[in-house]
Amino acid sequence: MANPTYIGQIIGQVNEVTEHCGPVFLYGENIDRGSRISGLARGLKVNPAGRIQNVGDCELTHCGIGFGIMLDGGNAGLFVKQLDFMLLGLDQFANTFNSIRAFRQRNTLGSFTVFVIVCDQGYQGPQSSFNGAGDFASIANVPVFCLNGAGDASRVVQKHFVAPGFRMMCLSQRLFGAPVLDVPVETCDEDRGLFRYRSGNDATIVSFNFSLRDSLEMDTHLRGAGMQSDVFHMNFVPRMDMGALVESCRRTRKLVLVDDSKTVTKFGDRLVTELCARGINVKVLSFCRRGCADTDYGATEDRFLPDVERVLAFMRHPACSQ
Amino acid sequence: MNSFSETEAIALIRLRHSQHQLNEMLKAKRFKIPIHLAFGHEAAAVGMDLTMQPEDVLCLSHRNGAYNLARSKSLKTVLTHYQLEERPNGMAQMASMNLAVDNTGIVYSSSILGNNLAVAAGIALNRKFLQRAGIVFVVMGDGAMEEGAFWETLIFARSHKLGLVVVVENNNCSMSSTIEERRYPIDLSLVCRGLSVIYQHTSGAALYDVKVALKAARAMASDGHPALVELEITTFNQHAGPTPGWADDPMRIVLEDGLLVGHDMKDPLFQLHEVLGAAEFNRLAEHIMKVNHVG
Repeated sequence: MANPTYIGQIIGQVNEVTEHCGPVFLYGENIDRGSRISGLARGLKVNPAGRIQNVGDCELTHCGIGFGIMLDGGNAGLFVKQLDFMLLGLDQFANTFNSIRAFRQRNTLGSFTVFVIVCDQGYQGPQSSFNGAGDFASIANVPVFCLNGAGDASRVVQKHFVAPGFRMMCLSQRLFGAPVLDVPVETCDEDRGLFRYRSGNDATIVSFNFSLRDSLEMDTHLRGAGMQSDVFHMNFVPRMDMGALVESCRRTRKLVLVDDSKTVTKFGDRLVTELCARGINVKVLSFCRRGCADTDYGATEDRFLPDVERVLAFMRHPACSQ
Repeated sequence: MNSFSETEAIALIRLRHSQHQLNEMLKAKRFKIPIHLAFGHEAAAVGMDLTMQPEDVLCLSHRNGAYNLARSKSLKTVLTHYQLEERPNGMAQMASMNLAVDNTGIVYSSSILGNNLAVAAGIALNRKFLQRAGIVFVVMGDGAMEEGAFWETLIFARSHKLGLVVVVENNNCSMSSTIEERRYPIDLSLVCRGLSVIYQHTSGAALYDVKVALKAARAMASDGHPALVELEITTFNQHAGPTPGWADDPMRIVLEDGLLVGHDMKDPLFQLHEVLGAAEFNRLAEHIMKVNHVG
């Protein structure tokens, strides 16, 4: 397909899996009606043994349904319009999955994957503004993947969708119609928690949530100024191996964190803590919103952009020279 | 009153005796974990055990002990979980609130009110989708019917014609509050009627009635008509722990006083006692108590 969009590329990846995976039950509110969940499920296909099922408006139950299917050895995929809706299913993510993973061998389980849109444009107003995918990972201790580009999306979907266990895969609504970000992945870890897109010795840039495009643009700007950086995207995978990030920071001594979520607790904090624990002295520049003012929740554009000039100043500051 | 088969009589007495022993252990503070006894629920648990077919599964709430005992038929097995003994393959200890003893058909127990309903519906959906045999039973109390998940699950089950049987143990108690103390009464027959869900109501203390209701509900669910069975039950001890487990618990339950804890038809064992007669009941009880005794 020529010039696929962000969402088109992801659905293409999902279809590649559903074409061959045998029985798989895909469900969601309006999954096969109208706009197909704002385009999330448009073009979705299953093999003859699978099913795409339109369901009613009971999100809490939909989450429990997925765990029930998984407990019974089946494969479930829940498609959801907004991350906010999944707050209604948080009990299932935390409590049900805790019980299942404690008492059941992983190889006896089926699969449950939630594909959910993160409304991150801002125009849908305050009740559609929750964009902290990592908060689910933190509260429920479950893998949460934010699909940013073709490279990470294909590897995450191919590896985890219909694999035993539970995970969330989050998609940015702001990026839906945008051309797919097709930057080659240099390396990624086994769990698909950490992707490296570019290499360099001048800084370590780490993207969270849906900040990969901004992070790569930042790197491009820096390269224009003669500075080359490692650029990573980090998903929210509990107990993930951060060895590659630690090695990079040990080498560059400069860490730039880019996180467009409004969550107060950041996974980047965990990285910084890890570096401190290992005695690695690193200068940190953080482009991370921590919450918002009450007045920031109106129906206006919600676009968080890192200030490239600040990055340049940071890199050139004498305290940051090696 | 209806008669009891020997198998039924043995099952009821064994379950009551197991609960008595657990109660005495609780008084002696032999557990680190909270345990929810269910004196008075024996007919419901035994009725479920007699109704379930090998391909059926059961999802329970935190008050799951009677069902785990009835299905496993082994206090020793349940005790290994209550005493937090190591499990094979490095699996975590189940303890009591989430106990689902292996190889009993009990696949999930939840300590979150209403949480197990959606999971049960998911299992039923998967069975239907994959055309696999088996009905899913899910047990809840009159507190869980106040949760939104109860309403949602009934709608979902009816919409997708699931092989699901919801069993409501209505003991007029949510921790320490009666229904009157906490909410307006809910007529489940009307709720079910509004959703075209099959509704049955019976005494949860009468084993025969429980069996009839569950068997009929299972048959309807097998045909794609989800069903709800409301059992009127008296729980002869409140919330958790040894009786009296709660400051205002009126019961003083002591094994030395005998197996009966109630002296009317609300106690399933009293019903058995009345049908068998004192001599036969005591003879049978003495034998079972010897076999079922744990140190």
